[in-house]
Amino acid sequence: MNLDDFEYNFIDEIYHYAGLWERKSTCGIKIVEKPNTTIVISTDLYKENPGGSITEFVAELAMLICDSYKVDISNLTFINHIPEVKSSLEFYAEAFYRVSFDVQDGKLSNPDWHKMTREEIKAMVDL
Amino acid sequence: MKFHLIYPKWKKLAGQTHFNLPPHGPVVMAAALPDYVDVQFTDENVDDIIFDDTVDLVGISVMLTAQIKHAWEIADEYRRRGKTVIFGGIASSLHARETKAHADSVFLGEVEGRMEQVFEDFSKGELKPIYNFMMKHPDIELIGPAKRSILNREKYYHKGIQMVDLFHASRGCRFNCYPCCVPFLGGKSFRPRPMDKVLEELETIDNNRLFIVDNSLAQDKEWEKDLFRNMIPMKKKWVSHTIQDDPEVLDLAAQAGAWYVYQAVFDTSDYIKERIKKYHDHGIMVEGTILLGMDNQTEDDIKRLVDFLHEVNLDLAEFTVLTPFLHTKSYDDLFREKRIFDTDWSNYNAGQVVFQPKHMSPERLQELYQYAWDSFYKDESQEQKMFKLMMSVVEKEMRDKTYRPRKEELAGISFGKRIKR
Repeated sequence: MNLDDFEYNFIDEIYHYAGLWERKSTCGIKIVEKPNTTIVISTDLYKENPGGSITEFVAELAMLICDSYKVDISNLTFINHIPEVKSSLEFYAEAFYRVSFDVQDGKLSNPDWHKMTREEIKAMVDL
Repeated sequence: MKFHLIYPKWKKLAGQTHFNLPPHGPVVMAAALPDYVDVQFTDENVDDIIFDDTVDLVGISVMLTAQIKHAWEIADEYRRRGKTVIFGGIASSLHARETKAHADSVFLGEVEGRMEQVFEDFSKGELKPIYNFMMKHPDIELIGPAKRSILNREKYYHKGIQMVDLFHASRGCRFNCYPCCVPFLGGKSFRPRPMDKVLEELETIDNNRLFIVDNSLAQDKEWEKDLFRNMIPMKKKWVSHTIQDDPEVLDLAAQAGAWYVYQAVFDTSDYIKERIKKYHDHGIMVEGTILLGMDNQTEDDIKRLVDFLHEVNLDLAEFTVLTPFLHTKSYDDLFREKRIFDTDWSNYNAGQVVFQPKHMSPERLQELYQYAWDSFYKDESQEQKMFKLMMSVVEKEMRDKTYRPRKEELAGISFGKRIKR
């Protein structure tokens, strides 16, 4: 598998960060500015990511991305994209989750995942 | 310096034969200790822990998630006695955030070349709460022979028969399997040990029967062939995970002493049928590992899979239910969907359903798990099939004159305990 296997509609660039236990990690990101919110789509890269998953580090990652791209965390819409892998196994099917957080003192905590469809995401970002 | 290294016990699954193999993590860790450390080892699966107030430092090595809660209890008791406790091993790394509350220190990652620093810090009273070597792999050349002299050897005999010794020829894994935590712990690339180091260690093991515990041997065909060619003269007999699906590799594996392999059976395809047949054609027996409760399995799929196992003449089968261990894709997927209802880690033994399956109730999956065991071993018990497996290795050993008769003085003993008649 390489990056060509991924759906590029949802990846504009590869984001490098120090993940859980400071492991070198990467994810795909796409940032879309909307009048009332900034949508950040973060895509798991599986084997192309030497580190951990987005899910295990999602609040910290969202804050890192907001810091890197000057996104107001109180105005953030964070999407966790689990891309399809070209496999017949169902558990590698594509999935999207909107992740909501508690926002307190400029920090995100208590992530909660809400499943969305690809169509809903495309409508959200006008793809 | 007196160091008490402990490997905590865990509750074995009901209905399965209980074998205690000499653990691998502690002997690998012990090999990395500085020379001045006097290590005393307790495998609680075969020996009781004697809380020793004369030790300087206590180490707890934890492999399985099902061990971790009891490991915390042991640490709590030693700390109540004023002793300093450091954790290491697979499950300590998976559960590091929780383990910190029960430890003076948690070591994350691989130990080679790092223990001098840890013990020096301890001597100075400067032990760090976390030694974070995750993904900072040591030079693979540093991995020497494991220190098996710490084992209480006679405790790893059942009715006079010595259990296999565990051994590893590589670390890491290039596969990214759904239920596996190796990508988190050992990285996503294959790291073979230098062949001379592998052979040096094999020479030190006073046991003709081994379990090569590498995650998969099918990572690099040329390395695999090289390994097997070098093992042929040693006449060891061994068990391993998957071997490359290649006639030349299988032939070399058989010559090198492949006894039986663990092969995942995940569907009823001709591919799986052929795979098992090829092993058998080379005289290698097969223990199928069958994972139940995946999202693509209905009740009918599970029943069909169990029927299929009889058709392909598996020599043994081991059934497990999907268990979402921390830092696996299965955990992430089930966690996001709020399908994990049990986070008592003692229940994470791969025999107890801790999540909501997609196509059935948890109770129904639990029943099907039991059905799978009962159905597969209906006509021939697990003990009978294991006896056949034993006879196959004895025959191989007789042929190449490496057979060692059982220890008669231990014939009435099982893992250190007298067998009740």
